[in-house]
Amino acid sequence: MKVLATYSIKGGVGKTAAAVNLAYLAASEGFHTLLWDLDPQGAASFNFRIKPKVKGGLRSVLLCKRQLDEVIKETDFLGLDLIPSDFSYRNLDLKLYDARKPDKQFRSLIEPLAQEYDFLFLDCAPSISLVSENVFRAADLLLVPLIPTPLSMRSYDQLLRYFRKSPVNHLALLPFVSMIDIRKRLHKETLNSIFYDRKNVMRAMIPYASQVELMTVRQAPLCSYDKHSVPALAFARLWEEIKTHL
Amino acid sequence: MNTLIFDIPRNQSVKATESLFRQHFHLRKQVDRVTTRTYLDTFDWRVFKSGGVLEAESDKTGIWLTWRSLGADQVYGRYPVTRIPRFVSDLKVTGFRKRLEKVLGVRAMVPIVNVQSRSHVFTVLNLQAKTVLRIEIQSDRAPYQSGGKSRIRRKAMLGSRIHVFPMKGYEKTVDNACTVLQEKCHLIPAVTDPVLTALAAIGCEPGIVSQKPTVADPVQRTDTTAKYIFRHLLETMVQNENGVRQEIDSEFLHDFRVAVRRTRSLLVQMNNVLSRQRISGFSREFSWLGKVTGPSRDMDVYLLSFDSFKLLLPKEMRKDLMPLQEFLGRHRVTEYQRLIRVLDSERYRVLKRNWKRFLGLPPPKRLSLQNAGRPIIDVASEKIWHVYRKAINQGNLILPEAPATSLHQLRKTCKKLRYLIEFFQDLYKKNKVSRLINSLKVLQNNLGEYQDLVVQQITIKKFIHAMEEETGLTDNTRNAMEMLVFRLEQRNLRVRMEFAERFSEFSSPANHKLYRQIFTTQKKPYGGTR
Ligand SMILES: Nc1ncnc2c1ncn2[C@@H]1O[C@H](COP(=O)(O)OP(=O)(O)OP(=O)(O)O)[C@@H](O)[C@H]1O
Ligand SMILES: [Mg+2]
Repeated sequence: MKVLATYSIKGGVGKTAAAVNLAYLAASEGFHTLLWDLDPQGAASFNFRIKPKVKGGLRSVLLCKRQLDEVIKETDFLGLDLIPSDFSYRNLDLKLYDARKPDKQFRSLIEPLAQEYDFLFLDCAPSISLVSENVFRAADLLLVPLIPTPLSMRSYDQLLRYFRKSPVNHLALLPFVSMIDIRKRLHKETLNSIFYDRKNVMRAMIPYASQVELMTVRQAPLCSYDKHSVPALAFARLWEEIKTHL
Repeated sequence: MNTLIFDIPRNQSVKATESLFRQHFHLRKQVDRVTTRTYLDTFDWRVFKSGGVLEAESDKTGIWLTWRSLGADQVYGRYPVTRIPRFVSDLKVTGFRKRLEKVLGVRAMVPIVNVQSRSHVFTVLNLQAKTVLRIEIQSDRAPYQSGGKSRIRRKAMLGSRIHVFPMKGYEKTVDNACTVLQEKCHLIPAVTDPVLTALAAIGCEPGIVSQKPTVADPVQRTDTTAKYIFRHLLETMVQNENGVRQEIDSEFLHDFRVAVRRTRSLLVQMNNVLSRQRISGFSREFSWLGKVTGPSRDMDVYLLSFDSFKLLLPKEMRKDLMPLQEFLGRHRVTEYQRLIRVLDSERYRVLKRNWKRFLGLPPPKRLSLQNAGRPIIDVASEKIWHVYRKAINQGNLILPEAPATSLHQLRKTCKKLRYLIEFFQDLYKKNKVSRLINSLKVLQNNLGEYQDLVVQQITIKKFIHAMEEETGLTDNTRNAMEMLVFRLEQRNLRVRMEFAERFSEFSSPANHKLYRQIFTTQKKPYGGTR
């Protein structure tokens, strides 16, 4: 099982949009895929019409009272399952502190799923915290959306500094350009410098498009109902490129 | 869990059933579709025997491969495919494939029966308009066999049923639906899985392949018993011939050759049981058959091992090995053509005819041969004990610097021993014999791997020359193949070092005691010589 996390320190950059569509694309190719909505706001769960609620809350899962397997919900899409978000996730950090090896909790939690699933996507809440440290240790790939603005790039540099200080073995960082609007001069200029400086940024870019916003109305992955739209094709290209890094 | 299939009684209409169900659940109609369900299994029914069902369901929109339990209480996986796969290796590398591979191995999935079905697909939604259950009403046509010349496609219907597809995390809905289907819609939980109904309709009984011969009567005459086993082995050969000819998968030739080897092995042991003159004639012919079927098997084996060969090389070198695969594939084709000529040959036909005739002859009344009339248990025990002693003696002489040939000799003896024990295992206490077989297997695995590695090194070197002559060889490919030989050699050394330990387990006092106990202390009602 490969673990892919969508992550950024900054909020509202397209993490959830990417996680939802990429997970859908993986499943539609026949890979048994699980998406874990780690954001207490439950945006990913909402996109699949699944109630953001875990029976017994987070406690019961972390204390291993319930196997993670028992809280999984099948989505409407063949081969794609989801672990819903829960409001109690907002205290996830505190709960992890209580655990014995606080930064390796996730790894052991997801281990039993490795037989069953080919891909696990983690959709994270923005911030850098004990939760994200757990995610870094559990993930094979970290997908980081970058909006081509100086502010977004600054928080990416922050992340790079963090990894320089406390490196995580085996974790590959895959940044990609998200919500780009080529009519904006700022985006264009920042984009040039991104590709000039940072070689590992992925080729595929997700454009700013109203269809992505409308996903929250349809409550389904864009790639499932409008797969020929420009942003859906962009997600498909992104997925193809990600697979070359696995 | 209970079955998720419910039969609609013949006197109840599908429409009526649907509307009864609608009174309790909010159904949303998805599609009406006409599908062809193709049930798949291996020649030796591996899916069925593991309690599963494998079905490929095709309609206009695509093909889905579903693997579920027999009785349909569990779905192990459902998987979109672009065409009906033949081998596990035709599927993408996923967890689904790995699990399925454990059941199928290298065997091909063969269509066993096709059913045309008209189905209505419904979903049940919850308040969030999320699907929590899928339901399919299926009406099956009479099935037909694939590949058969006359595709009998009668209009007759096999019956209708409702298939409930549960969704993980919404178990309560499933339970409710099943209750409603039974209590309110008057449906009957299916007693027979649809695949069994379909197979019955074409007169096919699943799970039937020739089993191992059972020799259970300890006082039966040895010559009669031997002929019984030989007949079984001949049957196995004949059964597998077709699969070899059609090249369904590599196991047919393998099983064919194992039957030939077993026949030869037992023939050698029967020199005082059956006419010596006849035996030597048949031995010669079976040895010929073993030899002429060898090269095809070799190609199969090298092709099957190709992936593991690749893994022995550093990543960047693996692609350079591809010409080898192509070479093997090409030669496999010509070897199989040669093999089929063997199967069509007069010599093979005559061998089969004479052998069959010989095995059908009634046992002679006047016994001129020493062992022919003795009870099988005496002769079997004697032979096994003898071959076991031989293996021990051969093994004891193998010192760390002993040449490969002495290990090869021991390997052959062990194989003989294994066949003998397996032929006659039902004459002895089951748990004791399986202990013996297991300890023997461990040694055999070591010897087998050792010998394979020795042969592989030599063969790959031969391939290098052959490829050079046939098509030329790039430096990269030559390097990759030489590297492969080197890696095989390293493995070989490791396996060789493990031998001493494996053999000391096999020749342990405890094991020895067991052999002695089982094979030398039988009752001797006819006073055998020992
Ligand atoms: N490519 C896009 N074009 C237009 N709008 C987008 C695009 N991607 C995401 N959005 C919208 O931007 C908002 C934030 O997107 P999303 O939820 O995917 O980001 P996020 O990084 O997961 O946010 P958060 O940090 O809150 O979890 C949403 O309203 C979404 O509909
Ligand atoms: Mg989000």
